[in-house]
Formats: sequence, C-alpha cells, structure tokens
Amino acid sequence: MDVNAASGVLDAELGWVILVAFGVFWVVLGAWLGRRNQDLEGYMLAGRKVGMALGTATAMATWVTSNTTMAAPQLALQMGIWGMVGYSLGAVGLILFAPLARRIRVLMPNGFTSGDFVRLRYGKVAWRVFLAISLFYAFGWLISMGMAGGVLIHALTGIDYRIGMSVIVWMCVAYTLLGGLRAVIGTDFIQTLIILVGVVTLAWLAMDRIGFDDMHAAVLEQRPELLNLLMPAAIMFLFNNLLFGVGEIFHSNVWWSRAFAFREGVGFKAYAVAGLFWAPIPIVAGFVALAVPALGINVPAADMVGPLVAAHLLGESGAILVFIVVFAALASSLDSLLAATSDLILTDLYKGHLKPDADPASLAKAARWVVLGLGLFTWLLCLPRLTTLAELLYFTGAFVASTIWPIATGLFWRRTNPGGATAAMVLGTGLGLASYFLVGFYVAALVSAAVSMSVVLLSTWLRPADFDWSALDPATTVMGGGTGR
Amino acid sequence: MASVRVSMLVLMCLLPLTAPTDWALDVSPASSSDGVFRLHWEGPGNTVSLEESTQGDFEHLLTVYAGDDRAVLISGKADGVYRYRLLDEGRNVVANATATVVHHPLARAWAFFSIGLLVFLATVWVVARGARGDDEVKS
Repeated sequence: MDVNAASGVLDAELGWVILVAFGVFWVVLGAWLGRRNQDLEGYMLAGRKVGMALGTATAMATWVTSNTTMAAPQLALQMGIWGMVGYSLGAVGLILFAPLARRIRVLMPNGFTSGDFVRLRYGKVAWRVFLAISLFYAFGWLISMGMAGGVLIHALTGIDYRIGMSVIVWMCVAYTLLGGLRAVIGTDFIQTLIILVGVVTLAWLAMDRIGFDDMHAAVLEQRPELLNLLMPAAIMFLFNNLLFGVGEIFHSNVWWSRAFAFREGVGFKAYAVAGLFWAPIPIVAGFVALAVPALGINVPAADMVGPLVAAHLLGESGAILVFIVVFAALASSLDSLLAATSDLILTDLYKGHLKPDADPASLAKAARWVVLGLGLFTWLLCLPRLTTLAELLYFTGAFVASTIWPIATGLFWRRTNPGGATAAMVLGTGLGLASYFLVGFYVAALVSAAVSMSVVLLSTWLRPADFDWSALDPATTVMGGGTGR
Repeated sequence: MASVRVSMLVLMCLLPLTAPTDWALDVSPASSSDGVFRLHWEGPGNTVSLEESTQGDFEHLLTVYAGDDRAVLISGKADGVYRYRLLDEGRNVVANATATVVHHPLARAWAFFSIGLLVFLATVWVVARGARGDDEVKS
C-alpha cells in the first residue's frame, strides 16, 4: 500500500541497522531470560513468582501498544481533544482490574487461563462463546500490532510494509518461543524504560520546537471541529473507549495470565500503579497530531500521523527515537499477546477440546508449536493491509465489551447464571456490531457493554443461581486434569 | 496451450504495473458524520495539487496539498459540503470530488454519553462492592 510516495524520513540502511540490532538484542535477551524454564508452568506462567517491579512494568508495557503510540495520535487527528482524553481513559481498565486480579488469585491460585474460569463458572456453552470472542479479539489485536510495525517502519524508513511487518512479527515469535512468559515479562521491563524515557523526551522536544499559539491558530482555521468540546462523535467516543479498554482487560488472557503469574499480593498494586502511570501517555502521544495543520504535513493514512509528525518535528534523531520507542511498544505487546493467546489455544482448545489426556511433556512441546503456528497465522493475515489500525481495533470492541459484566459479576456474584452470561455475550456482541455499521466505530463497545449489562441484570433477577466458589478448585481446571462440569 | 497459459500469466503479472491513463479522485466516505474523510487519487503523473473550494465556486481556494503523495486525510470539518479539485503538473484540472459532512445530532451524542456513563458507574459499583466483600471474607 503505497499511499505516501514521499515517505522515508530515515535512510533505509539506517532503518535496517536499527531493525537488525534491536531484533537480535531482544531475541538473545529473551532466550537468556527463559533459560531457567524447566516445566510447563515455568514456560507459561513464569513460575508464578513475578514481583512488584516486573509486575507493574509488564502490565504497563503491554498496555502501551500500537493503540497508544500510533492509534492515539490517529484518534486525536480524527476526534480532537476528546480523542486524546478518551484514549487516556483506557487506564481505567487497568485500575479496575486490580481488585479482579486479587480475586482471581484467591479463587484460582492454580488457574492457567481466563477460559478456565469461564468454563468452571458458567459451563461449556458459555466457555465456547467466550473462546470465540477472546480468540477473535486476540487475532485482531495481533494483526493490528503486526500492521502497526509495518506502517511504522514504512513511514519512517520507506522500507516496504510487508518486510517491516515480517521482521517485527518473527522477532517477537522467536523470543517468545525461546523464553516463554519469563522472556516476555523480562523484555517488557526494559521496553517500559525505553518507552517512558522516549515519550518524555519527545514531548519535551516537541514543546520546545512549536508553540501552543501557532498550533491552536492553525487547527482552528483548518480543522475547527478538533477543538470543539461538543463534537458529537467525540462525545460518543469518550465512554466507548473506556468500556472498550475495560472489556479488553477484563476478558483477555494477557491480563489473566499475569494475575496467575504474579506472586500473591502483587496483582492489585501492580495493576493499579500501572494504570496511573499509563494514563498520561496517550495524551502526550496524541498531542503531536494536533501539530499537523501548523506544520503543513500531509497525512495520507490516518494511522501514519504519529511517526510522520514526530519525524518532521524532530528530524533524523527524533525519527530514530520514535522508531526505537514504538518498536519497543509494539514488541512488548505483540510478545505478550503471542504468549497469552498461545496459552489459551493450548489449554482451552488443544487440551480442553482435542487432547484431554495430553501429559505435561507433550503439552510443553505443543506450547512451542502453538506459538510458532500463531506467529505464522498472524503474519499471513498481516500481509494484505486491509484496514487502518483504529478501524480494526474498534471492530473488536463490540466483541470484548460484551464480556465485562459476565466476567465481573461472575467473579463477585454467586447469583449470575450461565444462560444469562452466554446470552449477554451473544446479544452484546451482535448489537454492538450492528451499531458499528449503523452509527460508527465510536459506539460499538458502548452498545455492546450496555446490552450485556442489561441481559446479566435481567437474567440474574429472573433466575438467580447459587454458585459454589469451590467449583473453581484447581483440580477441576483443564491443566489440573478436569475436563468440565 | 502451455504457451497460452504462460502468456496469460505474464499478462496477469504485468497488469498491476500498467500506469493508469486517466486521473481518478475518490472520496471516502462521501458522506461523513464525524468530519473525517479521505481523498485518494490515481493517475498518469506524479506531482499534483489538491484544492478545496471554500465557498463552493472555486474562486476562493485553499491548497490542501501539493506534492507526490496519493492521498490526504481530512478531519475536523464542520457541517457542510466540501468540493475538491485535482490539478496536474501543468495546472490543468483533471478530477473533481465532493464530500458532505453532517455531524450526529447532539441529542444522540448525549444519549450515548449517558448510557456509557451509566454502564461505567454500574461496573465500578460491582467491582468496588465485590472487592470490599472480598476484604471482609479475607479478614
């Protein structure tokens, strides 16, 4: 997709040097970090001994994704002030998950995946619906991440989208394959430091080079609605983004696997602190998009705005910095998602559906094949660049927001019943998708969450269950040998 | 037969490389409800200018873009009809396009906002109340 003939702020050779240097560094580091993995639990859950510093860093780094570094500027360019602010509300998901993480650790000290919980709490029908939603979302996120890598590299160096995308996808596959969750969390820690230092430096440099007055005047003249706090689509978007973020985090095995992997007592603090630290990042990242009119930059595709503006503002050194920061952000999310989705496929599909009697040794071998297969699948789907990042991402919003209430009430209420939870996910997703096409991408998650909440409340009121929390016993998890209720 | 197949294959490979002979300027979506649309063009040349008519008559013009790119994303537009024309290197008008912006009514926006706020507050209530109960159980 060559929409920008003039792209390539950096020399392609320099781009290749950075790509190869960082690629080799992350793969070697991942292999080194994973050297102590001795069994399946070590590979999948880092031995369940992750402490506070690593826990906070991995939660934060994973949530700083292409969403934050590339789609936040895109949404600032499309939705203006509320685009940035709405994006930072994604932090609410992390903060709200803090009590859930503690609850998960108490109820399921030996659990493996979010699918495990849904199966034991709501039964097999709800489990399968949940798996469909969760896997669809995971693929959407994986593809958006791979696409973001290709877009970034193309925008900054002119290297072909497919080549850049291939490098970032296979690099993450390599170190996830070699080191498992331990490698993912260890590299996340270093990637967080790079992201924080890079974003703060960029913001400071941007402030130094361009004044508020010029930016404001240019936006007001050329794109006035971006400063309109009563822009209708942006008003709709505000809670949509918040609920999308909550849905992503509440259901996804990316966050559940960390709740299982954190040492006891760490989950609550790690998620709460990560949320607070994360909140300003989309505002800083999104802010640069408002410089587009003042700088007279052409943005051929919405998701290229972040790298283009930063490179234009800050020249070659800025472009290198953006490259490294976004590369780290993408890698930190892509690896987490690869690991967590592989766990879900291994535990809930392979062991749960295909080979219930698989022993730990064969599962450990299968875990690596699943990572490899998932990487290949992601790469194939990323090859044709079908849509923009935000459009792809928000399409999945209709799916994930439908899980908020079944998950939250499933963890805290005995009375929520399986039929209600299943119907909430199905109807929430269906009506969320309808609103995506009938109204816009900025209401899909909101409608989905509202429908799901109504169904859960109504069904719980009409047919209250009396769930026995001990049914979440470790012996009945898929990995514990159980195959379901 | 084999040579025909080979010829067809060569032709298929060459087709995407053939340069377009006429200019085409597309706008997507043609009717926008959030003030965002994208103009994309294809044609036989490289350098182009894209102009926006600020009053519908092309007498008051704003040059939106001049250069080698093939697309422009427009955002932050208020309600209205926006007319664009594409000029080639010789300053000849080679294509036109029109985009219409009609934002959602504010009443609809506030309705969605209120629903979102309600769902959010209810979710916070479930989690906070559940977490408090969790503490009580643990203590």
